[in-house]
Amino acid sequence: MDLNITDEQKALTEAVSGVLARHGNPASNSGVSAEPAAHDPKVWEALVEVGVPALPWSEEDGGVGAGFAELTVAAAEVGKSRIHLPLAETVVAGAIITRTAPDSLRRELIGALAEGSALPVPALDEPMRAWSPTAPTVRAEGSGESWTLTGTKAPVRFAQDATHVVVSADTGSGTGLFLVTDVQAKGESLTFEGTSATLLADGEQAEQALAEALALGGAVLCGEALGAMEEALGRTTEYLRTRKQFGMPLAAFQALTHRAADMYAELELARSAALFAAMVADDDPVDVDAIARCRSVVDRAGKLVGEEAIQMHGGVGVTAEYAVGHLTARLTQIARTWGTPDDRVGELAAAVGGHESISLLG
Amino acid sequence: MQRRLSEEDAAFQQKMRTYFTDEFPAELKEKGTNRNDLDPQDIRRSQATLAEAGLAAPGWPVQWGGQDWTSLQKFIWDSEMRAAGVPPPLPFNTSMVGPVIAAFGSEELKERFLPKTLSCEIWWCQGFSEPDAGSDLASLRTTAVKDGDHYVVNGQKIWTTLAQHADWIFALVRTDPNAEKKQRGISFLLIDMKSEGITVRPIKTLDGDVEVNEVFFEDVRVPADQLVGEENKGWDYAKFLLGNERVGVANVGLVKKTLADVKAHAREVTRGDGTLLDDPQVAARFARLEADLMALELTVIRVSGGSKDGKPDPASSILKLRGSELQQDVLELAIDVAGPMAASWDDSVVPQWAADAVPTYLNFRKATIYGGSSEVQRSIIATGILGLKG
Ligand SMILES: Cc1cc2nc3c(=O)[nH]c(=O)nc-3n(C[C@H](O)[C@H](O)[C@H](O)COP(=O)(O)OP(=O)(O)OC[C@H]3O[C@@H](n4cnc5c(N)ncnc54)[C@H](O)[C@@H]3O)c2cc1C
Repeated sequence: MDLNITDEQKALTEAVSGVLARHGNPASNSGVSAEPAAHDPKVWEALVEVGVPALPWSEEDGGVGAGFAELTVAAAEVGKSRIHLPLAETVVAGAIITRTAPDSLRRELIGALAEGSALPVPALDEPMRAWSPTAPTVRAEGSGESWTLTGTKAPVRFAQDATHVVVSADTGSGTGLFLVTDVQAKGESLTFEGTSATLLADGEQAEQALAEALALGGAVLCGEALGAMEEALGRTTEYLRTRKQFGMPLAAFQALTHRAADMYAELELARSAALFAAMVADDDPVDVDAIARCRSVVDRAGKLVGEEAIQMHGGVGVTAEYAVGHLTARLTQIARTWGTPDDRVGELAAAVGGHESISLLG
Repeated sequence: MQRRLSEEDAAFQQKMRTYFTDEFPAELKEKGTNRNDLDPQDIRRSQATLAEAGLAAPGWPVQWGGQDWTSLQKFIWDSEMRAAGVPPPLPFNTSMVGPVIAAFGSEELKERFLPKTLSCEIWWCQGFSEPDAGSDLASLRTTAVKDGDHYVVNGQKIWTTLAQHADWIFALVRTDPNAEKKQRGISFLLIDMKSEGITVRPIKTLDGDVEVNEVFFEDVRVPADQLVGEENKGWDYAKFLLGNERVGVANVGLVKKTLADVKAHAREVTRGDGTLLDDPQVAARFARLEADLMALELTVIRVSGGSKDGKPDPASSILKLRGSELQQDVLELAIDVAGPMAASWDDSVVPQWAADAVPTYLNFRKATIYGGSSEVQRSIIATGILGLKG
């Protein structure tokens, strides 16, 4: 086992950070709130040009077959940049498609995603429902080639710019996954009123595909969170060195520097977890629990690093014009994407009886 | 990045597993892991067995019984040894004084001490801390004054682990009281515990055991050829010693074994119609600790694999801090799994593991104090890595 970044991966991070710096416009620059930002097609296009969205998909499907390790290091740059991009979302939608769609549709969609002409995202959440990957209240009716959906999915991140949505719906005999191409979004809300849809999978196959896809998306989120934490800690230590109070730099106060040390410890544990999640994501079959475990580590690190970063900046930390709070906002959101931190611990808890201990080597 | 072990490493892992599970004497396993059953003879036999198999100190130079292994292989060695319940070699011997002698000692010292240190024919104890020199170790006051071809040692050490069983002590002593910086006047001396003028006084810890001691030196005459390296360079050797064993310091293998044992007990304790492990809150405690342990283990593998420009990966600085905390969390969970049984320390009343739960938990509060306390670790990270200086 080797958890170290390769030279090619390092080169990729430089390319990605260059693109983001040239084309991105983080919310703090304009001083707007830390609300999840809408899709920015210009940055996405630039990322498509360096090949990022194509990284995890096989060449046969129209990707470049590089894998999740590559995508994770790219995601870390996105996390640092404070720019919101549908990386994890397209991975979840893409992974469902690669697992369930017939050959021609799969190649067409993944190819278009890689080229930037399609933006498929998942639509899983529903108003006033706690997170659940199964048994949604959106209903699916029909059979064979002909299905319609009724009900509301919200919020659906990037719905306004999505070209395709992968929707979970109740078929009457379980959860089915459907592809909708006529995307009519009101903000990040999608209401279906007998909207026609293509059945991708149902029953056990749907459950399995969704679980794996969410794990892969989760691995990407780990990478993004890693970058955000790195940036938050870097900005915090810089601030401690330069901000003066009581006639000395804040770095003179051990009450603060020891907490910064704890942030570093959490960050490094989370780095190991994020890199491991990426390696697990490249495995077949994907060990869904292993990625949930990694996310759980990242959840906790993100909370500590994000909250402490704001705290140690004092008042400026909560302003819209300052970068640190935006990183915290993103970390807070990442930890609640496709389940809360408690949900993940709950999932893992339900599985602890199944093994004696966790074996990483092998 | 690469997830799987290479073929070579997988074969290595299998070899270690076979040796530790099938070939290592079963009667020596699990010794010293339970309270009160540490028989020094067993510890010696166990280490001698490992030494014979070439498995006592893989980190040493090959010439002195070490192995030409990668850091990942050393990690596998440690993991397999712990998983099989094999008592690890004495850290004082193999992680502390051995590497110092091998790196800084004369040829004569090496020949005299390394083989017996490897086999545990000599049991070493560590004489660093003093009553007024704890975290601020460099303020130590035990003196060694040259008298012909001897040093005369006077002073006191404290917290000396297992000094009651030790044959020799490696001690930091002040040889130059007038040095400009207090770090500069310290030497690293090897002292026979049978020397005249040494008194060992036990200190009882909360669990009722005697694991640490005070060691008094009164005009102890130590042959000058038992000085390691150069006079007044002892602080450098001590720093080398403390920074030496990064792989072992997180204790991942031991913590993993303990957590698995605690889980096995949680399956045996009943709650309602099921077991304690079926309780979602208890299961969540295990899930969290398994995640923490995974992250720590991955970090050990990551930092032991990669050194940055010959320097250790800075992330290695978190291993002691988080490893000791995790170990304590696991032992606290053991108390909660024992539940009402934890109120008794008497193994004729409750099972041994339950009787041991609280005393072991209390004993291991030490883990965040010794070997550089958690506060000292945080200061090292803050100044050394984050560059935070007042
Ligand atoms: C069970 C056990 C076994 C041991 N075995 C050995 C052994 O074999 N050989 C040996 O030489 N020593 C041994 N030690 C000693 C150990 O290394 C010391 O206890 C340790 O260095 C701390 O010193 P102290 O106990 O004097 O505490 P102090 O240094 O007095 O510290 C007291 C508290 O203050 C904190 N503190 C100290 N300085 C600072 C600072 N600058 N900033 C913030 N916080 C600070 C500490 O972290 C601690 O919480 C052992 C200790 C224990 C408990």
